[in-house]
Amino acid sequence: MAGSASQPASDVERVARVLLSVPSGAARAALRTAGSAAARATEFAIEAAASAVETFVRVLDVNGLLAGVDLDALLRRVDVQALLDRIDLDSMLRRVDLDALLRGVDVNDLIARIDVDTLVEETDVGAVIARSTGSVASGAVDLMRRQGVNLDDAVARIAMRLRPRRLSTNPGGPPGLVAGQGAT
Amino acid sequence: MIEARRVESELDVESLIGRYAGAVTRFAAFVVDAVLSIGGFLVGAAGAVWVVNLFARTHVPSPNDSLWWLVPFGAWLFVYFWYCYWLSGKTPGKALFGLRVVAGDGSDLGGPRAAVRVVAFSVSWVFPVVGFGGVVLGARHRALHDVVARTAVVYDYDARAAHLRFLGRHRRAPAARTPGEHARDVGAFTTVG
Repeated sequence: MAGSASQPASDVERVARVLLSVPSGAARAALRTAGSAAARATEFAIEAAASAVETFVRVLDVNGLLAGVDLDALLRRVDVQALLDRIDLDSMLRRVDLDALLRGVDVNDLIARIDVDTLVEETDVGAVIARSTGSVASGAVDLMRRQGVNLDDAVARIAMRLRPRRLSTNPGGPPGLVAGQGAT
Repeated sequence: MIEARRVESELDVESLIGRYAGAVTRFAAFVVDAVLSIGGFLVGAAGAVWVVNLFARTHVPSPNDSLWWLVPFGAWLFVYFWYCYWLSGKTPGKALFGLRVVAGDGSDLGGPRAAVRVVAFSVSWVFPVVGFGGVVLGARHRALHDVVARTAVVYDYDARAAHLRFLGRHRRAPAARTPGEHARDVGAFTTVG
């Protein structure tokens, strides 16, 4: 057992002795040659691996591969809400220079591209315009009618003084229109 | 409590629909109809005379030059009033002032009754005191042509809705209005006796 343990040690000694017996210049040259060969071998191995990967990707049918993937199932496993919670939108928006962004927008060109006719047709803008102008017209008509009714009332009061007994029997209106209502 | 009463009184406005219309409103409506019907006739007649004189190389007298124009003029007035009464009980003038002509019981006018009313209307002009005196002094504000045709003129405008529209347009708190403004607005919607 002691003999076998001492055997490797003696081999090392022998190699060391051989190396020590070789001239130092030759030893350095041999080591340099060995290192250079190892480096070349490494480069070759890397290039071969890269070439192999490239060939593999070229040969690989990615579309076919994706067709076999159940994206729905995959996406069901994604917690989108959690993903969104992790995004700090406020911070992101604070970093946006809106002034610079808006300076780059040609507002006149943007407005010129709006089809106002279609906008009016497809939204309630037309109704709002009609309502606002209509309310002015109806306001004037209401006012005119109101004044007319006031004057009717004034004339009726005068007539009431002339014929109080006759006009006190005023039924108000035709029976079919004011049924159940008394005289005014 | 006072505020509540004030708001309640502001909304306490009668509709007026179906009430006998008074003399002033009816006269104003007639003036509008007279302007529209006479003006329309004169414009139409002048246009017709111009076209006929242009293409027929003849001279057709204008409405100012010939009494014969009274015939188409009378026909035009008849059609104007009769068609409007028959269609809706309203001429443009009556529609403007919120009036409607109905049968004596409140039902719609038929064509024959409308025709009788239009013809009797011209008779009322021959005897204006008798013809129109009833509008002022009669209990039902009926003119001679109303009596003959058994018709009545009623308000066809919702004064209450108009009042609410008025309040909506002048959306001011009642407390911010002066007593004079309040009395004016509320008093403007009293009914005709």
